[in-house]
Amino acid sequence: MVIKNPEHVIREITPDRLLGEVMAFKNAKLRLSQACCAYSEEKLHVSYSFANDDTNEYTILRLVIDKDTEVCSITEFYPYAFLYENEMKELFGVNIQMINLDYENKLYRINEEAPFIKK
Amino acid sequence: MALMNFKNTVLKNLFSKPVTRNYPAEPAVYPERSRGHIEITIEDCILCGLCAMNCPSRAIKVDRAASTWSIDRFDCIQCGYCTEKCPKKCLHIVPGYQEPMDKKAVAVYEKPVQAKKYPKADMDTCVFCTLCAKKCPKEAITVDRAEKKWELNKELCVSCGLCESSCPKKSITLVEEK
Amino acid sequence: MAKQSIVPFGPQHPVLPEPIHLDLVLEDEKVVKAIPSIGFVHRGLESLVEKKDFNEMTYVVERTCGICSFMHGMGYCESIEHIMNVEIPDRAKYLRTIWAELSRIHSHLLWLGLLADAFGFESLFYQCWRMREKVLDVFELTTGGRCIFSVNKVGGVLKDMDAEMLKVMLDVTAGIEEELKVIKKTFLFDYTVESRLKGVGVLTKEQAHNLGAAGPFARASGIKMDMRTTGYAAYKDLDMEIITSEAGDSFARCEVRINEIFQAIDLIRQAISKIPGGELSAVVKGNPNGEYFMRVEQPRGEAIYYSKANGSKFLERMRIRTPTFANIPSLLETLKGADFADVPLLIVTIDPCISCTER
Repeated sequence: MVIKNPEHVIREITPDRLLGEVMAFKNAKLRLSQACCAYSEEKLHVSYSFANDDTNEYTILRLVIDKDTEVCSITEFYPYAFLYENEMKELFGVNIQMINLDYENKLYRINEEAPFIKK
Repeated sequence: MALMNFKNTVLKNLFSKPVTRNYPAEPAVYPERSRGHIEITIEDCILCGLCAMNCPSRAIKVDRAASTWSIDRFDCIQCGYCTEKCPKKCLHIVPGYQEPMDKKAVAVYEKPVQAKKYPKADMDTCVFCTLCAKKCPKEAITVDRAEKKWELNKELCVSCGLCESSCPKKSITLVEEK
Repeated sequence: MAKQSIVPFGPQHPVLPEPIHLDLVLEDEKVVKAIPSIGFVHRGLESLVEKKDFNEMTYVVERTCGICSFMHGMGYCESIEHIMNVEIPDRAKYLRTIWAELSRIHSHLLWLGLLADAFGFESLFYQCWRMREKVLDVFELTTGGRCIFSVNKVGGVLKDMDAEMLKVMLDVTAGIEEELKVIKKTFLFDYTVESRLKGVGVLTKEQAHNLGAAGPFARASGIKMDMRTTGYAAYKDLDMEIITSEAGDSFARCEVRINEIFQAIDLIRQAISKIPGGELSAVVKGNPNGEYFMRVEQPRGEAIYYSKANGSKFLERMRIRTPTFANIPSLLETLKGADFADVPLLIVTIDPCISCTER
């Protein structure tokens, strides 16, 4: 079997460049493999992973932002990102704007606000 | 495309014995490795509490004052992590599942009274390498290389023997307290 | 314009073993739109990293789901091993591969049974699950657990398989192969089954790509995607071709999964013939520091295990992205234009695993 496993590329960007970068990935026909958030040292680390299934290349766009920084939704380019974005919004309280299907923090029906942020 | 593809299977099933076992008239057979429940050889247990500290579901409780080891069998998830962690290998995972009960119950095992053993370093061979102090799960040993001192806090010591097995000079032995 | 009506589907429905809810917008008998809602059983397993250290977490991750349990544990351990630069012994890699492929057989047989149940072929359903029972018995013999094995640990595996167990495994998989050849005829060449599956819920290659589908669901639409080609565990030493189908309908999904069972049996044979001797686990010292996205091919598709560690024994973040989570958007697309009566069948064809989705 032909094994292709190139090193993952993690690129840190600022929120205002997010849409432009994502559009470039969309045009390059990459698949949005996942999006997730982590909380570390009072900052939110948002990662969007893009996969190329022919070469197994894996590129991660990383935003390191404050809790109240506005992030624009990427559902414009990747409509199926709505589940990931709703999840981040609900569990970490990431301020994501203009999701095409916004569950308004009711995706997981948790009473607590942003339960994954360590108090 | 064909009709009646399933015919042979149906006929075979019609004239063969059922694959299921007539339980409980015929008892279930468990293979040797089956994860049924945790068993303890309480005589060998030193109540160190490593199993309780590492249990992912916190099902095990160790009470050193009352010298008891107890497990809530309904909380136990049969992962076997305690058997990995046990320094004395007195915990085993054996076949036989927990039987249903009408309420949760805790199984308590009491350790028979034995004279306690404490580690003792032979000052002639000890090189004060501090390995024993590092390995001690309860931080009961203090070693001072400069002053050539090796001290044991008997209150904290659980007689697990990890210091004995980690000593590179083999100068630690567990001796019974008179 | 025909009159539209909204029919709630789930969370309790005979075809669903687990809760997911869909609001179906119908025009007469046709579905025009479906709006999903999940979160009925969300457990927040990921937040347990604050309380369990990275070794204990293996057991938590394994218990995410009862069907893909082994590969959850494996993916998590490989992500930590990657962060800590631990090279696990070859024998452990092969053992992981064998158990992982056997899990695939077990999961796909379960799915075939559920599919047969969904299109109303009850005796075919029992036939599939009877085969699956033998796989579970092998699991109990080799690991001690029927669904959750707890044989993975960071640095290797906990239990070995001796020659006798490997022989039993070969015998059982050979038996399953024979039985499956008979069952395959009913699934793929039977008039009634075909009329229920062919042309139902078509997802074209382009749609599947644009909706981020994963696993057998995407491969049935002709996308060549398989995380095993990244060569984790022992896959780099084994020969396999990615199985795809072009049609993209429910029948193609069934075909892909049946062929994947044969492929898994072949992979097990290759692995058993090549398995080296040696240690079961490598020594792991210290705590992890770093992050890694581990991708493994679960029976249901690409699963991602993201671990982020900061040098203490508790991880900072552990995330599992399961294949069902990625397949929900494509499911909504396949539902558009489908008959109301086909909705349960289409939900089954993505092989939904809600307990994985709601970690």
